[in-house]
Amino acid sequence: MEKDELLAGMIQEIRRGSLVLCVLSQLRCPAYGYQLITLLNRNGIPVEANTLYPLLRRLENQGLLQSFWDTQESKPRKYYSITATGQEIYDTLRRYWIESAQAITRLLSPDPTPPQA
Amino acid sequence: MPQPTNPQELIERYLYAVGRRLPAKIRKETEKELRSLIDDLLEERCGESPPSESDAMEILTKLGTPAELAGKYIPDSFNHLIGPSYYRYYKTILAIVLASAAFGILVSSFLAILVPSDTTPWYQLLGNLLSDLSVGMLAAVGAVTLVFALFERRGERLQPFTPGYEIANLPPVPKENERIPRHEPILEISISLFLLGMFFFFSDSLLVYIQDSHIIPIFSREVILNHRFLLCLAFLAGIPVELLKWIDGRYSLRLAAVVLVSNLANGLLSAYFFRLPGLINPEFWQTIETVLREKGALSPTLEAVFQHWSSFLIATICIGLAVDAGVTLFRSLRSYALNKAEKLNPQL
Repeated sequence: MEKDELLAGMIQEIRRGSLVLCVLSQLRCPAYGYQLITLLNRNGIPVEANTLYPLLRRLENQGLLQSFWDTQESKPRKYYSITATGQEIYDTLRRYWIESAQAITRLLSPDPTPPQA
Repeated sequence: MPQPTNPQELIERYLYAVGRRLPAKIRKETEKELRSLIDDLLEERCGESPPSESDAMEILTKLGTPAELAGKYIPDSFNHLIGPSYYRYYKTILAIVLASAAFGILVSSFLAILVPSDTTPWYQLLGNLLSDLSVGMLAAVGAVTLVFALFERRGERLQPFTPGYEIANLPPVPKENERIPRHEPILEISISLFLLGMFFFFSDSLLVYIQDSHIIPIFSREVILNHRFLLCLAFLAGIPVELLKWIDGRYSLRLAAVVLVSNLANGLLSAYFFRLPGLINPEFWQTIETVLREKGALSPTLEAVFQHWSSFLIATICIGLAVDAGVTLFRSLRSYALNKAEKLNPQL
């Protein structure tokens, strides 16, 4: 039981760190919270509403996202999209992620190639 | 409280409970957004058929209790009073303050029981002890927590702005004779707080002169009580010094400066306090005089000492404070000179 909890905590930490990147990647076009949850779930990134909604609000406060209310449809929805600052940060984060992922994959492979001097 | 009978009522109650835990400026919009989310979740779950209360219940349970959900909207720094950077110090200081206060109150209450002139029944003394203990402990926890919570809120301003500044300016490892043992300041703080507790809770029978099982307090209770803030200040004057010793753990010019200021303040406060008119219980003087006269030991020298007792006492205190300041200054200067010499000639 203790081992399971430890593992769950570690997985949660990895997810928490990468969720911002996943969210930013999907907001080039405006999307509302629930739509984003479905989109991420469909792509193998399970996320709970009670994690995503506060995160969207935080990213908006930090100036990485902007939002508007669409009241034309049957129910009002808040749409989020990425800002210019958000895009800049996303591009840097994306490069960092790809480099790290490559490095980690190398480390995790059964026969890691020694790092070049 | 009536249970909600339809899902909409349950959702309204939930949203209201979340909203009232949120800051006012984001409340309305967050409620509106969450309402639209819950609608979507219900629609996904029930399709065209009308949702039941249990459907709503399940969806809301998955979102978490109102407090949990609202908590996620509030920045981390607002979710704690004292964060990890101060928590360790907070725990230690709180333990010292609580232990010293409890010890002081216990000892003074115990001594109060021993005083035969006191006709208070034992159960009332016990009640007094319990109430003193609870009030004292609560006040101690409150004061320490308040100070640390202020540190936590304002602490960021104390951090150096340039990265690496702190590491580049780390003090050299103190040599054996420059170090101040960790227990020394803790002991000093405990003694100060203990004495302070004694004065406050036991001022009427503190320092008694016993003659033929008759007890005469040395100090006048009124004068001590009227000047309790001054006394408090005198006892607490040394605490910044001890805290600095505890945090730095070494002699330094900074410590020497604080010791000088603190001892000067303490000397002035003592001089003022012991010259207060009526500080000594008049009955005490009379008894001493009678006893000495009976024994034929009242010499003119002794009489002069009694007449100028406050000057003698103040002189003794000042000499003690001066020696303490002198020793600290000497050790600090020695440490400073050694470090300077080492910097000029690293082979030393």
